[in-house]
Amino acid sequence: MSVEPEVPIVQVEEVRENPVLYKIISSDNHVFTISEHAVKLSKTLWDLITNLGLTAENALDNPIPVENVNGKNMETIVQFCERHKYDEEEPEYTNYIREFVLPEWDRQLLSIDNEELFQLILATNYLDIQKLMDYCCRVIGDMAKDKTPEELRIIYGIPTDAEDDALERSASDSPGPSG
Amino acid sequence: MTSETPLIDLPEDAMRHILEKCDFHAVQSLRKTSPNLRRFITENPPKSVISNVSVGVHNKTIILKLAYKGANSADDDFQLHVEYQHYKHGCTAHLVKSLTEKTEKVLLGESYVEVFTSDFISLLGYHGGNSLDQLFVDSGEVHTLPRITEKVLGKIAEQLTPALKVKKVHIISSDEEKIVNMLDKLEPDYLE
Repeated sequence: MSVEPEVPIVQVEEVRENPVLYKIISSDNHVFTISEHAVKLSKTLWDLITNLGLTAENALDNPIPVENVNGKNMETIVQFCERHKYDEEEPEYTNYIREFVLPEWDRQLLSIDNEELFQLILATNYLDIQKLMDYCCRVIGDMAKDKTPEELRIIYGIPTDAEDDALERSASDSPGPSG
Repeated sequence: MTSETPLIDLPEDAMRHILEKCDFHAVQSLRKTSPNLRRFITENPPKSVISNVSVGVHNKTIILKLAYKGANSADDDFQLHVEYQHYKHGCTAHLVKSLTEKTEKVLLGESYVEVFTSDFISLLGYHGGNSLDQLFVDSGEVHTLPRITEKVLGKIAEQLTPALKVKKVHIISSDEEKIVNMLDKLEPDYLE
């Protein structure tokens, strides 16, 4: 004779459909909602949430202002975190596998010009999102494959020695903040 | 694709991440782009991704092969394959990309042993204190002049970092002293 369990079994999918949500405000006043699992990918945001004592009950009434990240980057970051919120933790060495191929979804998300990608890296660095940092840097690193130093200077905006000297000269010639 | 935000303006942590994702050639090319970047790479060598190192000597040619972590462990699946050869008034370095594709660089006035040694030092510099799965050294003494074999093995032993962590070592040589010199540099607890 089998005994029915008294405690109802909660399906994982049901839990996923009712997540705790947090509100984030970007530097240009765009408001984003993000689930608890997703926001945990950002060490900075999760530390902030923990320190502020936000709970499932008061989270949506207390939006978190993020002064250093604009709406465009925040949108990419929220999309990325939501996409990867249930990923299993990868062993540390996978960070260093050069043959790793980015999933197509992520490659599409990060198909932006270098200027935007560098800005996204700055935002990711501030929010401390390891996986996104890894992916962005992988895209940047992949650009260097089979390139000459001259090609790399163009791709990465690295000035030549002569340009560098000229920039330094013009900086020293221009009046300082007081002049 | 060009950028108005130079790579070198990124935070150091991001720069280190990027360098870790670049392959050996890319890091070497980046070193040549600017003094600032060269300084950064010297001060922050990318974490090692090398799992296997193979050095073979064969009739005035030194063959250096590397495999990176995470790659298939098949013997023929090395991601970097360079051949250093004696050439009239200097040497040549061949970067072997596939069975049919090679790029060649002629270095006049340079000894192929010295060029190999310099690259080997550079590799071990990147490697730092990380572990290798396998180190394979073939002295090639059957078909190579003894003085060349001796010199190359001596250079390798000289450059191995003290207490290098290697799981498996294969050394093909009859020169016991050189073998002992190399084994002396390996971390004994790490050998399988």
